[in-house]
Parts: sequence; C-alpha cells; structure tokens
Amino acid sequence: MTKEELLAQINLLDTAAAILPEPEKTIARSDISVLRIRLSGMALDEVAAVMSKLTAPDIADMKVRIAAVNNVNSAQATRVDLFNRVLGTLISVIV
Amino acid sequence: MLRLTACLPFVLLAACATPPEVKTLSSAQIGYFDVAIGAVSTEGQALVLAADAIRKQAEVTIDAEVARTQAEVANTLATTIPNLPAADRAAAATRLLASGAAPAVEATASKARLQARLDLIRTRTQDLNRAIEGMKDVQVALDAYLSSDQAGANVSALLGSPGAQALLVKAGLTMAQAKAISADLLNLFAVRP
Repeated sequence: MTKEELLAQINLLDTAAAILPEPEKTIARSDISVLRIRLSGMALDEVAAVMSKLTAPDIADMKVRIAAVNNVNSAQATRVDLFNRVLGTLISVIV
Repeated sequence: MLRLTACLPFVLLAACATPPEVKTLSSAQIGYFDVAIGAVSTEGQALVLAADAIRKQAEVTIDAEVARTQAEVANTLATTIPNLPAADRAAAATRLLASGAAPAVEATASKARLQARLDLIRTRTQDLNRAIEGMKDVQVALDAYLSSDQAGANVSALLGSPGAQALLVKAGLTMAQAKAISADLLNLFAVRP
C-alpha cells in the first residue's frame, strides 16, 4: 500500500465518521487527526516500509467495515464499533 | 662477478620506477577527486534543502490538522455538550477534551521526529563529504609515493604513518565509511513497493 492509498483510507474513514452522533464524531475525527499527523511526521522516514505492513486482507476488511459504517440502517453503536475496528487496524500499522 | 654485483642495485631501482603513465594518471586522479568533492557537496546541499522543504511542508500540514481539530472540539463542547442529558455532560466533555489534546501531543512528537531525521540527513551528507576528502588525502599521498619512487618520507609526512600499507588501510577504512554513510542515506529515502 502506498502512502497515498493509506491517506485515502484514512480520508474514507474520516468521511464515515461524519455520520456518527456527537460527541462521537468529534472524538473519532480527533483520533483520525492523530493518524494524519503521525503520517506527516514520517515524511522524512521510511514511510513505505510502514505501509508494507498493511496486508491485502487488512485493506479489504477496512473497505467492508467503512462501507458498513456508512450504512444508515445500522445502529449507531454498531457504527461506532465498526469505526473503531478500522481505526484499530490503522493504528496498529502507523502508531 | 664484481661488475655484476655493482650493477644489481641499479637494475632493482630501474625495476621499481613507476611508469610515467601511472604517475600522470595518479596526478589526474587528484583532480577527479576535487571534482567529486564539489559534486558531492553540491548534491548534499540540495538533498538537505529538499529534506528541509519536506519538513516545513509536513509541519504546515500538522499545524493545520491540530488547529482544525481544536476548533472542532471547541465547537462540539459549545454546541453539543449543553444539549446532552445533565448526567452525561461531564463524562462526554472529559472524553472530548482528552481526544482534542491528543493531536497536539502527537504534533510535538512528529515535529521532533522530522527534525531528528533532517539532522541525521545533514550529518550524513557532511560525513560523506569528509569521507571523499579522506580519499583524496589518500590519493595525494599515493601520488607522492609514485612520483618519488622512494616510499617512506612523503607518505609518512602526509598520513602520519609509514609505508604503502598505511595507504591501503586508510583507503579501506574510508571506503567502508563512505559505503555505510551512502547506505544510510539511501535507506532514509528508500521507496519500497
């Protein structure tokens, strides 16, 4: 996965967070900010090596979960849970 | 027999004489090192400038991210928290403030990381330049050795240790150092699929 692809995933997650109820939305977006800042801080680092830690199943899994977060028919608690699972995957790679 | 013995030192000296082409090449090599030192120095400066530009851009992005998050948290505190049930307000506000503080903490760490990387790049490029200058010193000594055909005095004076062996040792160490520094710099900018 390239840095741009990872940023795209983070942005997708950010978009999904927009439909969470407050204050969960703001808290979720703060968590995403930490990821973006960490990624920016790695601008002179071996970012590519970090990206390679994400496997194809991880990426597919994230896409499914982000889509589920966006599903308006899901309960809010389910959305928050799905959001946190995707966030957890990203944190395990970047942080 | 006596005549033959008297001729022997002369024959040996003639055998040791450095061919003129080698002397010319050796002297030219010193000029090449001057060019290489200049080129590496210029490349090094360009590399540091590029790295510094990347660092500055990253810091702008980081600052914008922190500012945006803090504004969002302040807005949510002002608009959402008062509308929550009274029993939930304190806990929600505490969670919001904690999550809002995290980006600023991360920003400080990330900026320090960027600066540390930049410092490393700067130091490594300077080291690389010094390593090449060291190779030139070796070549200057080698040139003196080849030109004089009398190993010892000139080499000792230039390198502080006698003999052609000292040249080889210094060259080997300098090359190893240059390779290590070069590998470090390449790793810093490595792009892996």
